[in-house]
Amino acid sequence: MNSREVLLALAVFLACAVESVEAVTLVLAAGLTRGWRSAWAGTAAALVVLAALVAALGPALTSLPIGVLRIAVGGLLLVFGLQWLRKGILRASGFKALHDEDAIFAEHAADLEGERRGAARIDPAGFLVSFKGVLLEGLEVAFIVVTFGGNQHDVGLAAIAAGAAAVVVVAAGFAVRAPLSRVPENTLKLAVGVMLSSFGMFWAAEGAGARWPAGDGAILALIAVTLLSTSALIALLRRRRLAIAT
Amino acid sequence: MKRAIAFLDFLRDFFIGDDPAIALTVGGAIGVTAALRGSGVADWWLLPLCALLILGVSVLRAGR
Repeated sequence: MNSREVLLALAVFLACAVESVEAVTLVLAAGLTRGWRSAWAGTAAALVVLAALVAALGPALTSLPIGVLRIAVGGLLLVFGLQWLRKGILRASGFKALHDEDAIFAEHAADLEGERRGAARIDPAGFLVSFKGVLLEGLEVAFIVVTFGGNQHDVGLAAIAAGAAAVVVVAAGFAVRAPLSRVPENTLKLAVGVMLSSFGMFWAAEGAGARWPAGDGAILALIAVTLLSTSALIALLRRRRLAIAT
Repeated sequence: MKRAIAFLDFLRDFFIGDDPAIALTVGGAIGVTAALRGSGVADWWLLPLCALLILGVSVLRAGR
């Protein structure tokens, strides 16, 4: 392998690893909070759509309106994430019960109904979050392979590097799955809300034409700012609740 | 019919949620960011600022 090929493989590996981390984060978020059946179903459906698009379009893939997709996926993730943060903040500050009894009852009733029918229940929200995340990031990985590989006339090597990045990141995701499942439910939902909102802000703004100062690195800053804002709001509401109680 | 209503309920809950102001603000901020495209104005901060502001307003209103 000459130096040009090493550089191509390294660049594609790193770029695709970043995209894969984003996709795996969303699948983990959906799986841990909405159930693994829905998360896997969403992932599988996205991979099927992605494979069909790549097979049908090939190098013409770059003509897809990725900006519009980013706005749609990012906007939905942001709205969804902010709703989770809202509920999580109200629960953490004591303004909402930690366990919503009506929702728990409805969930158990639906479970029982599902068992009676012998049908496997798919949670639509969990399905959609993982579907959108994997499809958008998968498309971006395919773009990277087509553009980087096409420019260097070595799409095969670019595809191998992208596949290796995906395998490494998915393996890391599997490794952290078990420890994450022991985190308390509301803490986990707050963390997922922070992740969904941050990715949503990044993609939607990028799709609308904004240029992030540090590229993909801006996601880390968005996560930090969203986490700080969430903590500040919880502290503020806890003080307000104490003032009301006394 | 019951399934259609349940699906519409899910869509409303997924896209709008407990506070419609969140979805409206996010939609508006994306629209303004898109309108500023090519104007030379740095616009990356607009969506995060609007999103976190509406989150604060929404929880503070709910926690009265």
